[in-house]
Amino acid sequence: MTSLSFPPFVWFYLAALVLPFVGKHARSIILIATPLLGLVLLVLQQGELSTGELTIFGQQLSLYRADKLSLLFGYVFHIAAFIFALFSLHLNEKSQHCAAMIYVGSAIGAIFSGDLISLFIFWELLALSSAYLVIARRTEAAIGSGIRYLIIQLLSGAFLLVGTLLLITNSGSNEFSAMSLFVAGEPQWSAWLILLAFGIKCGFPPFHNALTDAYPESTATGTVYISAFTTIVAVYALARAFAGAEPLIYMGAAMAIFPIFYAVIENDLRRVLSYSTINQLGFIVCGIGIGTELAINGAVAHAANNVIFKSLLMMAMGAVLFRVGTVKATDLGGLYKTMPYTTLFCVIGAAAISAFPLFSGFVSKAMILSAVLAEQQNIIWLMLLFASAGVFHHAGIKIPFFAFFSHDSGIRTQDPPRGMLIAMAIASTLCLCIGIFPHFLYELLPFSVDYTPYTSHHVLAQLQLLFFSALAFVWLKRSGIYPPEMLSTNVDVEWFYRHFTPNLWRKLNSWLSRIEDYLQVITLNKGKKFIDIMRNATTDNGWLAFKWESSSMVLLVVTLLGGMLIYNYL
Amino acid sequence: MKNLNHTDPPGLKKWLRLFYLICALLLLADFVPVFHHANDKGPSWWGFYGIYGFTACVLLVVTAKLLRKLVMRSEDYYDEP
Repeated sequence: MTSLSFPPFVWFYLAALVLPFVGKHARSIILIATPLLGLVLLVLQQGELSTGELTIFGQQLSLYRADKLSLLFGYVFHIAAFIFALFSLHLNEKSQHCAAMIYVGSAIGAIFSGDLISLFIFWELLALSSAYLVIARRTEAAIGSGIRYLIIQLLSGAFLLVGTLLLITNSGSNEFSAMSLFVAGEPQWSAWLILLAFGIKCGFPPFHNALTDAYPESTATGTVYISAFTTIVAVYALARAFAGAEPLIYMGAAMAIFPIFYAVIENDLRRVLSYSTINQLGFIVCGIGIGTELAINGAVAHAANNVIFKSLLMMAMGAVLFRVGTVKATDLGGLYKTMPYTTLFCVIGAAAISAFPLFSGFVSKAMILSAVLAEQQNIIWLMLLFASAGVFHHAGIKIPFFAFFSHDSGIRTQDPPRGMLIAMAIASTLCLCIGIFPHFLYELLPFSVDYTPYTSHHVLAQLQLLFFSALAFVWLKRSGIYPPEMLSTNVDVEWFYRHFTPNLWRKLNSWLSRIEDYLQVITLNKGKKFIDIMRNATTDNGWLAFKWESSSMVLLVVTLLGGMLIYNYL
Repeated sequence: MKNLNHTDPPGLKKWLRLFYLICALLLLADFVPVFHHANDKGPSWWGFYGIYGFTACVLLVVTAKLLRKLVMRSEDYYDEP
């Protein structure tokens, strides 16, 4: 491997360079071949690479650090990139394909970065290319949403940069490795800033609206990309640097719980999935916070599975958007008749995200829950169990039910183009294969695994949880308690920057202009009065210009002279 | 209880009956000692997961319904000046 040994991101950047200048067929080949070539090279290289080191401005950059943790994410990202390339083959828009290649390359580059400076560079490239994928839909809403997304992503980059510089100043090293938030009781500000940067990208509240705002506004294919990579890069970074950091346990539990309430009442099904993404990230972040070998294995495995099953659901919704033009639950229903394959793939994705036995979510989520229980975090465990039931409710049932079943909306359409179907088929197969043969995934995990997901107790417990959640849905739906889908906007933290602050600014502006008007009127009136007074004073009979009589002048002169005379004699 | 049966697709009743049967069997399976080992972590008393799942989902939906009162606005809320 001498001539081909470059860090894996290089191939994607090269593809992005070439894509604008080639025809449709060559483009399809490049899109599909790049991730496959990258994957093959990655497997062959097995961590050996001589060209991964660079020195810039006196800083040693390491562009290819391959260990079990980065390699697992590397494999998953290549496979996902291959699936997504298939999914977007029909798209005849070079700029989106280019942006997607730069985006995937940056995600892979970030995964293999061994130092914080190259991580920062890829971090920012991720932000820019993903924001482009949102804006590429070219609607007014998408452009606004893309810019808001970019601002939040760049905010994360700014914190990462400041944290990195602080760290280099303090320790002299730019290595991207495990960090402590406290050393001898003293908070390490560089570590906290870097944690904040990772957290913002990972959708920690109150920054989570970057996800729920941008994912539903991007293109049918763009959302599939941006929902799969950015947050998982952040998860990888958290697992690398902050495994076992206690605040992450509570943050993760909060992230697993609160979005499911929003997901239940949300009408836009891609926004439901965005909230669901935050919920899944919650499980993963919680596992990272627990920090034991089992927990990290579970978190990493769940992150890898999440890339596949979450994007499978996003692809199914993308296919609906592509064919029908909307993914609002109020407008959909009964699509299973005309989109049977999409329905099937969506149901598989839903089963995987709900952690049904024999599907991929089960074998990874089980590890996290077991690890939480092993650490005696009983309340956190109950919260995650609640969230698990909730996932099934909003992602497992709601998404397929309202899109493909429910009442017949009268829409008659067809399954999406072949590329989309093959992409979803591959993702579905992966969900099933990992669920049935978990040891393939377990072998790639950072720590050696001694874990059996399929115990009779565990399978029964999970089936009870899921079936009785479904029973609750059936009962609530049939008794009319279930909230009907409605055309609506549900306000979240974004209310502060999309409604409150702009309105406050507008109000401040109107107050200021009113004060300005008032001051203007007052100044004009008073000025006019002053000018009148002065004018009157200087006219013929004004008090400044009236005529003096000569006798009074003589009297004044005499008094003055007399006064001076007397003064001289004194 | 509102009767929404008039919109039910044909055959739904049959599927629902099968579904209820599975639920009942899952609860009954908890009595079978094969499903419990001494080294199981987590609560293993009868029906815990089923009851917890059902209660969780009902709570979730009822709370979400209340949440609507707090957060729901018109669809073009953010577009209004």
